[in-house]
Amino acid sequence: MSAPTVQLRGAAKHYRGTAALAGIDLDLYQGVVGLLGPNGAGKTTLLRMLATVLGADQGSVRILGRDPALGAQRTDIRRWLGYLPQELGYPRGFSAYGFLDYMAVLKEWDDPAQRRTEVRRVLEQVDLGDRATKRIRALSGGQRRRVGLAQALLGTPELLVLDEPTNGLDPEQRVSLRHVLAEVGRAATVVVATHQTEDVAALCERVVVLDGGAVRFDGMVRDLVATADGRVWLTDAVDPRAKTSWRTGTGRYRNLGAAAPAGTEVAEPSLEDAYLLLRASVEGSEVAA
Amino acid sequence: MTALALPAVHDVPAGTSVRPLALIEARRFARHPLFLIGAVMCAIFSYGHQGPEELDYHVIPSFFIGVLGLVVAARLTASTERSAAVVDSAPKSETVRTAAMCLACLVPTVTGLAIVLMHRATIAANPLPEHLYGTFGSLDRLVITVLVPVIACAGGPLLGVATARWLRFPGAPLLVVLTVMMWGNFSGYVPGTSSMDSSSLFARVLHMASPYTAFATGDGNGEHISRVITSFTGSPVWYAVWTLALCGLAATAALWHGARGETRRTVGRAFVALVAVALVALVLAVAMGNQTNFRTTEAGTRAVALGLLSGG
Repeated sequence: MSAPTVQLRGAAKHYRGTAALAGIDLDLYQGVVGLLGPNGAGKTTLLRMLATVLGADQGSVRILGRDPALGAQRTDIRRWLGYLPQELGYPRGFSAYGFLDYMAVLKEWDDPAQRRTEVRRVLEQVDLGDRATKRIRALSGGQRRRVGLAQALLGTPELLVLDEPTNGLDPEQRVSLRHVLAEVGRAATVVVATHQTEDVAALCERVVVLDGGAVRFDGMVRDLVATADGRVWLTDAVDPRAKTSWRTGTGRYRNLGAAAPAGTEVAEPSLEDAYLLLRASVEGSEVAA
Repeated sequence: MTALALPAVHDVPAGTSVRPLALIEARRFARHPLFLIGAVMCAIFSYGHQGPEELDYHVIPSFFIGVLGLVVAARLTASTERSAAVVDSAPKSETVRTAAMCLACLVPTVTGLAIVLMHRATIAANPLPEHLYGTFGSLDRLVITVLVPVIACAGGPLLGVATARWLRFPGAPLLVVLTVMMWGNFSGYVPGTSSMDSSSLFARVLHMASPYTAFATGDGNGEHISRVITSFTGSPVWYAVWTLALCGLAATAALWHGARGETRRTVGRAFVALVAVALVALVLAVAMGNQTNFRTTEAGTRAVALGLLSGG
């Protein structure tokens, strides 16, 4: 196996005594990795650490074989990094092209002709070629999100860190984004934090579940889904034996629990089912503790 | 464990990395509506204008380009920080971004120079009575009417960059503008007030220790040429060096924010050196030039108060 793009050992980050990341170990390799977890799980903290804008309090962090705590090595990492934060503000007065041009300069695309070509390339990649000269504030939320994604794609990054990239995108745009990320993931490491389990299921080979600042699951998507085998069943009414249940569009109830009761109709589990069962078990163990 | 093989990092030729960013920032500065309004107003008030006193002309570019430029530079610098989350993860550092913004301040500087030269051309075509220049010789006149206002056109925007870097609360640029204007108005005309005239060393230091100061005043009101010009104390040449040092201090203060390692130490050393230059220039500005106020009319010049340093 090749060396990991990202290697965390006991990496921790605290805010006023509260652990946002509680000493995690994680190796990330080439490919698309989904990062799931509830709000406050530490996903954004982890992504900011990978984006080199936040340092760890404890433990070691290696990104692209470099130590982001050291100035020159941090700069080196940033040359091969693309980052889309959860919330991205834009400077006033910039067009989509102008903002990407500005970001390209910050990413050391100093030659005007090469920069122009690169900016055009990423604009086309996110389907904004015809909106290039529009002021960003005149764009829709989804288009602004795609401008943010385009800046992350500048320069063919080795590590692409995306926090909620599908926020505000319509279904066609989400499919288009998956296509782009799948292509990038062939040659780079793409980390996608999201609440959309269907995006992870459709895009990622590997998934990491964070909760309470700790890694609760790290493995292949199919392995997480497999943890829900035989634990999802359908009924015509709410089943009190279920840990979680909800009424589906067909009018029947989808139930998740320790095991499907005998005589019930067992359903094919989804990633969302597996994630919810994992979350329920984490909460259960916390209550028990 | 084997180290990850990274692609070879493309070399960034020294000296070229700030330039493209500075060009972008310069374009943004040049297109900013407040700067354009200020430049147009400055040109209108400068064209053929001769007073109230020619030696007080520098207030026009200092305000319309220097003070408004402070607000423009602060807003432009702060606006890119809206994208701080991604900007901070780019290889070009905050120091490079600040340096680019400082270089973009050449836009108001060059604009100010062009308008000042246009003004001088109109004056040259229609010369003023000699007494309007008070006690100041040709070098001092050049400094007061050309160099001082152009430095103000650079200094205001540079202070704006420093303001955006260090004061990150709403209204910070406006607060700095008010402070600078009050400081300049209070100390600039101190030698002309009856309560603190040029016989007071304190008044003379205060007169020079300001980002904007007046070198003369007259009895004209804009409708007629002054008959009496009161020339204030101090050396215009050393005052220009003082304000130039203030420009450098604003730029280094801005650069110091976010600088790390050797860059921070270098900027810190430059700041200390500029403080020394500023203090020396301030002392010389007070100690040289006129040592008392003078009143000049078409009939001649006479001293109106004795200064402490004149020994008189």
